[in-house]
Amino acid sequence: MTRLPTWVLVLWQIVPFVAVVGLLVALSGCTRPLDTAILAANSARDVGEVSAEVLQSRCTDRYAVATRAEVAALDVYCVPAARAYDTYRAAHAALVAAVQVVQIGGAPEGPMLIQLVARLATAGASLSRAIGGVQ
Amino acid sequence: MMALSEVLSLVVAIAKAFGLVSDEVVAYAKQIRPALRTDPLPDAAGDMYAARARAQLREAREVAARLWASGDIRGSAYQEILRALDGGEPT
Repeated sequence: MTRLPTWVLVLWQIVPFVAVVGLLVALSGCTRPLDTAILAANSARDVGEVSAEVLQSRCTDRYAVATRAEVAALDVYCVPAARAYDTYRAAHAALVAAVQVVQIGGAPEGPMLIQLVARLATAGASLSRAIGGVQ
Repeated sequence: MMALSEVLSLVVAIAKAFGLVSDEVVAYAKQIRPALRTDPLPDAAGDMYAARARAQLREAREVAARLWASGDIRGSAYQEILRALDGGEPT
């Protein structure tokens, strides 16, 4: 099994850290929650793209040529990774939607955005563990 | 201990005192917001499940073909299985 590039592995360690730091910064009042939410959503999108590539290369491409026994073996780590990715994708979509609602004045910025950033951070941590299993 | 916002305010105040920035520049900087990227993440999990389903269908076809080749099922049953695997209803 080929190893992933180091920057991918490093990214998986950094993602939860960046998300948590962003949350702390927002809570400390150093910046506006809306700006923090936008930065978190944009960073999360980059992470999501990388994880999608990992899923594609480590799971989807292998399922495409797998026998029944190999499908069962792939299921052990690919299915949890896919579930974690779906959760992360939904958390990212929810944050993006919330930011857009705030931007048009449909809701006040504050607790809702911070809560969604926190959920995205949690989903990112789960995704990081699941993708770690795929590698 | 000063918060980051207080440190930034102090830096801006010093810069303004030395004429390095104007009120207009500060006001403009406060308006600058990061741009939200709204394009959704790819449905990588969906693609993976689709590839997994195709692998299982392929395996099922191969099993059916082996059963037919060994004479364990008749040709009509084999065709019926293939139709079912292709999404058609068995007759």
